[in-house]
Amino acid sequence: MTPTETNELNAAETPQSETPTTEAAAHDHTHDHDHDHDHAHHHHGPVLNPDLTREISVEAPVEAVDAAFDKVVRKFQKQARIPGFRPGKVPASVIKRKFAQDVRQEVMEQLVSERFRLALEEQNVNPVSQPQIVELTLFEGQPLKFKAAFEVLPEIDITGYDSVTVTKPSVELTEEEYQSELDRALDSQATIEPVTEDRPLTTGDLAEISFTGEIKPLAQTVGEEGLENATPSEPITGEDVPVELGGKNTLPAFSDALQGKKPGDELTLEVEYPAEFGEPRLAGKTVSYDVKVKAIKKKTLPEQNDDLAKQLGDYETWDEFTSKLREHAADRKKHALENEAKEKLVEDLIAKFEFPVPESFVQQQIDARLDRGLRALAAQGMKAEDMRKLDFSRLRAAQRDQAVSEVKASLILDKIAATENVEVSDEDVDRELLILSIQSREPLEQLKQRLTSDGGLNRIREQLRREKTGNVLYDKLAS
Amino acid sequence: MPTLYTTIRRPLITEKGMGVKETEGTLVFEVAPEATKTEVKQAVEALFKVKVATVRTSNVTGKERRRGRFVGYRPDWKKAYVKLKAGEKMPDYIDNL
Repeated sequence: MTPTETNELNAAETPQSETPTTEAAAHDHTHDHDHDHDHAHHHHGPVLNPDLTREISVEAPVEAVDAAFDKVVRKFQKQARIPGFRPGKVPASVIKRKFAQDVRQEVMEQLVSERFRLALEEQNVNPVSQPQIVELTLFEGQPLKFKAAFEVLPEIDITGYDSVTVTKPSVELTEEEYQSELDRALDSQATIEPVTEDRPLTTGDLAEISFTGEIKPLAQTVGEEGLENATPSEPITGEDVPVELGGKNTLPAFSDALQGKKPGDELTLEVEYPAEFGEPRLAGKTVSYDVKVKAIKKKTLPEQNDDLAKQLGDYETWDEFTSKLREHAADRKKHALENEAKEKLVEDLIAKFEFPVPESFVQQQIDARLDRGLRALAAQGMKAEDMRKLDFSRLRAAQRDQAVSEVKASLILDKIAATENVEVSDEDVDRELLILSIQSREPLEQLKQRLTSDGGLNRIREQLRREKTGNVLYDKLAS
Repeated sequence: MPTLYTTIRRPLITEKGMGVKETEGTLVFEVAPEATKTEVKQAVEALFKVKVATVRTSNVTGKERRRGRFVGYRPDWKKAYVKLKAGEKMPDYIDNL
């Protein structure tokens, strides 16, 4: 040990770039993991936003240091088992020699955190990140000295937040929208029958086709991304695929090409997929298809009567079904539009107020986002070893902008919540917990206990408060 | 060629050893059974750079050890109490020499 040695304090470590994500990939989602071993020799902690970083120097007199050492040594004396000594009879001098490292480590943890807290109270600052301890001097018989750097909350000036306005969207359900909802419901109950008469395909028919398609090599697509599943050597094939001529979900190119064809006909066609096509390997590409028409089928929509209403759900009459359908569709639309408006509102707020964002929050937010993303990937069946191959620093960078605005949004909303006196009642929290417990199939009591102990309950409360603030703001500002 | 460490095998860090170190200024070692008091004195003076007043030694009989019905003995060994001259600074043992 040399007097220049610094920064061994484990409390100072928030997860560094790769650690949490690789662990997330290994399905290990505990976030209180012990980082002191991995990071004991990192002399650089996570990046802090320089605008928000405060550094304080802390000192403690020799007596306090020695007292702390004595206390720890006495504790070790009680526990130490050393051959040649009866338990509890080991002299302090032997303890200090044999456990010098451990004693120092423990003294450091106790003393540094205690003194740090005192210094914070004294200077009345409130850190929001883990402190980074540097230039630590801690030896028996010497006064304690260290510097701690940490981030504080930015001063957010939200005056004029209520001048932001947002247009209240019209939430009336249009007849068209209702009709399309109804069509979808009817479509789900439609019966498909083969057409026996010998006639060409017309609009409204279902053509059963089999096809093979080849993606035409395009200079830039094949060069970069074409190496995946969709290389030209791997054709796209389909057997007995129903295609509705003129249907909403059918590409016009198919409808047009099939028009007037008969079963047994063969044709080739080229389809240019739009760039925003739902299937990424086809989007923006040109595919040439060999198509064979196998059969013509006809879709019959069911009659709109009380029987159908019963089949569609727990409805007595057709009228009841339509009115419920109208109601649900209107509700859905209202929610979607209102959420959109609220998001817009928050976006405007973010754009309106400029302030530095604590880097530690951003990192946490990125972690959370990646965590969610990886879980989703895992749910889709991605293997842990494949996940480890992902380029995490690139992923993190990609999440950054989003994360920054999310952090900003929550900081602004917190501030507004304080101004508007938005409170979250225990009942609100309980209701949220109940939903969570149903979703995660974890017993309510157990969930509650777990969240109370790991601080999740507070996070939920904060989250609810933000949501509520969003609603309050919306009611107040939307016009 | 005998080194200093062939004479002095290890310090005895025990309750008694530490006790007499504090109260009488005496170091306790396990030493080679064939070592004489003089040899021990010279070795300690050279090793710890201190002045030795007297050396007392004692041959310790190995304890009986049994493995089932087979009786064996731990090896016999020699213990040396080395009293340093008054006012000599007590050396710290390096643990497990």
